[in-house]
Amino acid sequence: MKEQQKSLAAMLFIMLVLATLNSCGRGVVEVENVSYEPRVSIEGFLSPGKRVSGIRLFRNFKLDQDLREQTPLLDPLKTTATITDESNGRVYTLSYRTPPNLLDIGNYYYEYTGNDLNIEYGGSYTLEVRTEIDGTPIRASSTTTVPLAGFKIAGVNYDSLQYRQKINGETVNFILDIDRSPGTTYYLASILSLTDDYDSFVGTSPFDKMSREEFEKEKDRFVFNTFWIQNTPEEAGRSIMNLFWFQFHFYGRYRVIVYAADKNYREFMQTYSRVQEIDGNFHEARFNIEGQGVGVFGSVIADTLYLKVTE
Amino acid sequence: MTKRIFLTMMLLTVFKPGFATAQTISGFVIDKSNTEALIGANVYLDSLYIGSSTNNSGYYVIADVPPGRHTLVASYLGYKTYKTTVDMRGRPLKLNIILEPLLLETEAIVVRGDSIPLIEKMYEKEVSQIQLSARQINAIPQIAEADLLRSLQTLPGIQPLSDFSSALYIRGGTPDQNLFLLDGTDVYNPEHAFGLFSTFNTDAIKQVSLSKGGFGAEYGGRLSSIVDVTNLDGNRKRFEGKAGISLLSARTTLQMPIGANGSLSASLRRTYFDQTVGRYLEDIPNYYFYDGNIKAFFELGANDKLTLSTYGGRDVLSWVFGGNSGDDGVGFGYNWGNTTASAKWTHVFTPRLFGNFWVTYSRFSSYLNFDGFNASEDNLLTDLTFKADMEYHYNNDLSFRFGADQKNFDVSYVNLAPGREVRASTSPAFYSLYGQADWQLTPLIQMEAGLRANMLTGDTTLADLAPRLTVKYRLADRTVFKLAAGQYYQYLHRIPRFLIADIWTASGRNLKQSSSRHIIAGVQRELGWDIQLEAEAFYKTYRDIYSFDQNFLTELKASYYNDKNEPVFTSANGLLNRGDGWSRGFELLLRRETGPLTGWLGYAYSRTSYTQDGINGGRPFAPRHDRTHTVNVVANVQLDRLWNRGNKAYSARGDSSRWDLGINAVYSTGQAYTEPGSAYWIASAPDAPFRDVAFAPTRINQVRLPYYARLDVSLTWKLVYKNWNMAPYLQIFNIGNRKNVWFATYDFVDEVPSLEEQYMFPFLPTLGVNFEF
Repeated sequence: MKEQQKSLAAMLFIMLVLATLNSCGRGVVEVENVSYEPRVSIEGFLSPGKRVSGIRLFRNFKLDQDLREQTPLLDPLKTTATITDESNGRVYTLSYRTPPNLLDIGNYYYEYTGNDLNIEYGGSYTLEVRTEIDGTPIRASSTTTVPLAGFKIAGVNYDSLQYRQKINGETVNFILDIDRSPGTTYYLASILSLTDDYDSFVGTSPFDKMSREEFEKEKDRFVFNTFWIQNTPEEAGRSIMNLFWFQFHFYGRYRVIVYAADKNYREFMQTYSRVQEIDGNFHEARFNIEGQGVGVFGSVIADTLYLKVTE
Repeated sequence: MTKRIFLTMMLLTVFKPGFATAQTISGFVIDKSNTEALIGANVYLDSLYIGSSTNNSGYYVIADVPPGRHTLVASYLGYKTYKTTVDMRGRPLKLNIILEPLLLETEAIVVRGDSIPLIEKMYEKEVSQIQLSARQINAIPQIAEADLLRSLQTLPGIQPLSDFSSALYIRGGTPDQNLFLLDGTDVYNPEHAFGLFSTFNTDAIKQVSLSKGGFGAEYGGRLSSIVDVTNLDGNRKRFEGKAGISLLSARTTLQMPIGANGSLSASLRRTYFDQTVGRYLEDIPNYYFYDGNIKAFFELGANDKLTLSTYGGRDVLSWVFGGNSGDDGVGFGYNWGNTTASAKWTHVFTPRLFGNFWVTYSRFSSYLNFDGFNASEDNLLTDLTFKADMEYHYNNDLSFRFGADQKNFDVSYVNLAPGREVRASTSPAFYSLYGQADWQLTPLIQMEAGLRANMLTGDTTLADLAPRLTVKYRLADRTVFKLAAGQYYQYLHRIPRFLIADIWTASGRNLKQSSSRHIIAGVQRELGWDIQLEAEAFYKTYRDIYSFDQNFLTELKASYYNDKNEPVFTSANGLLNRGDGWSRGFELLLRRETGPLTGWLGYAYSRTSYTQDGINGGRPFAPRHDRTHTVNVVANVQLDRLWNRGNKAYSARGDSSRWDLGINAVYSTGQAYTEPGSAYWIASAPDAPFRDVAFAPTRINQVRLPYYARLDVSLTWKLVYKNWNMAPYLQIFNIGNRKNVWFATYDFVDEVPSLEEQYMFPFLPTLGVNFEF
């Protein structure tokens, strides 16, 4: 063999060995926490004519944080929360409510206990939070504008339907008529099953064929879900909202609350759970919170009805 | 003094006295075995040091040939060098040159495939241009079978996003910035199987020319690259066929003469998973794709040629799960594909004036419908183009290319779902005009200066001028320096979607045209052993480029309302984020195209930065496809030839069998990736009975995934019997079974953090066999 071929063969062999060694094993992603910054998580909604209550303020946490070892609660002694009525500039300080069951983390919240703060249709209110997380002073604020009056559920085509019921060969949905609030273009229905046992679980659904064990693990996502319509006309009038068969997973009664939502809640819902793209990468949600905050401070008008799904 | 010498040389070059009776030699260079025109063949007069190379139609012109007898030489890689004596007596000579292929399988092949110095070929080549033949593409091991776009991903400066995609990210640009031409026709969304494979059947390909940037004025409409695919015209001498079966598909390409002056080439490919395994497995989607093309070539006379070409391909998917469609199950149907057609008339007006005239039609469509959801989607793009490209050879040092095209687009997208409708359509027309001068300023310096004018008329009129400049300089006997700069515009924009076909939209009142500037400097050097070295550095800027707004729901505005008061959307407003950016990089390519070991070693350093409105707080970020370092090794080894080099007994035996080893190795640093900044508890509604953990990304693509590495190997056993070849092969994709990370998912299970990597393709062996007859 000529020297040229020998050299080529040797070069090829070395490359092969290097490539082979290099192309084994597995890639491991480590949590780097390079962009972690302490933030206050806000979950609060105002409703016209109702007391300001249920404003939950938590801390965020690192991706590798064991949540059993760290409470999400903020230190109430280092936390202040206020609501400002933008119509007159008055500031109302919220107080901290501790639940009777101290382990019920979800029921620690802030509220206004006075009687001089009225949430008005069309009013604008600013929540401002100051706290300290990991020794870092945190400030976050968000302003919501309450939808105008006018929204209500005007009716529904059926109070009760069989699961995937067909009439004349067509699957029939619950269709809600809703009267819109002027200027509000987003309406969200929260659908809560009042039954959550495996025996009532729809076994024939193409999505939900699962064992009792699997069901117990996944139950939350069947019991409660949301559905919205958006980009409705800005002016007052009537729109329809279809509730599809695949939003119901149990035979039984359901409580449906429809919310007319402000911009903050609308944009939060449209983005917060979609931050991971379908190819795996992430992008930012729209929180409409200034400063170091995540979550939502919004306002809603709510109306409720009850439906039934039968076998 | 220097200035004076330069000016004198300039004047001598421009106004050099021609020979009083000098004439031209012109004609076509064709392959003897099948009469295919040979693109890029070199033709020159041995003693006069003047010559030319063939254009995309195989046409050459040597002007200013003085009277007398001269030795004319023509050569092309893999063909015997042609030599003849021409006697110029004051009349133009029309000389069609027939080159005879070398028998690559025998020892007769020389280490160098032709007698033209390699550096001349490199000098002729445009900046950042790479040409691949079907043979080279087929030698690269891939998933299941050879694939054009996946082969291009092995070149420096071209990145895939993942194993699952054949899309090309070229020098920091996105796939929508690549222009795909199939026999002169634009192809949109050239993908099968959700992007896993490309639509081009490699058996039907004659040549692929890829320009990674700095391309001349004859090309426009895209910011980053041109992938120009020319299919086989067809064998005008005899019937010839190829066929292949892989685990993916069965395919065939047939060529035959039509009368004395024509030929026909036809290809067909279809996957058969649905007809085999799919018949026995339940609860899997019913899926197949097919594609085919027919190309007819007619020589209408000495100066006229007509080429008719058509392509059609379609992917068909239907899936019903959980029962029967419309009953207790749910399902969907989706089909998509391309249709193209073109007619090309090639005319030699005079030996110095050559023209190609096209009418092309391209159509991409996709249809999606969901059973049980009353939802459907129709996505359609058509492009009817009239195009003319002319070449005028003023003399051997100065030639002009000029042309014009008119494109008539029709883009329509209809998406119907309960609660809303999308009915968007636009029909803009696009006009362009270009001129380019190729000027050999001195024996050492060549300049190509061009200008392209573009105009789009739709809901508004947009126009621009795009200058282009390339300078080539012979640094030394075996070294060439090249510099290119240009301005590029793009009027079509893609709304990318995962798995399902992208939607295209056009610039207009609300969407400016995108633009990019390229500056490229490169050195090419012929090394020993027939190895080409190419080193290039580039810098690109982007302005008004668009990416899909992942938060588009917050931006949508209804155009009007239907009778049910449901919103109807008629434009792409709110779907795209505007941005700017830049890419810079350095690429190194060592390539060998002859001998028992061929292939290339490539290295690319690249950085890309985008700034997009509303993303990352307006701060610059690296896009997902950004990888800093990439090394590619592609080798095709003719094993028995390598080991028996110089063995007389082997040479005497001829070559009745041959073992080929194909290697494709890639290493690259990790892709840019967004790690969510933190997580938080949140309820989705005021009455929600529980809280979820949600993630709050704050800085986009601020971390890197682990490095990517893969080694693919193929082994082909070529059996020759008379005029038949049979080549069974084994291909192993990712032979090291490395688990390359695609992305990671984060979660908190029972309040304990968890991170799970999602991996790309594992070890994947495939078998197949190719036939030639």
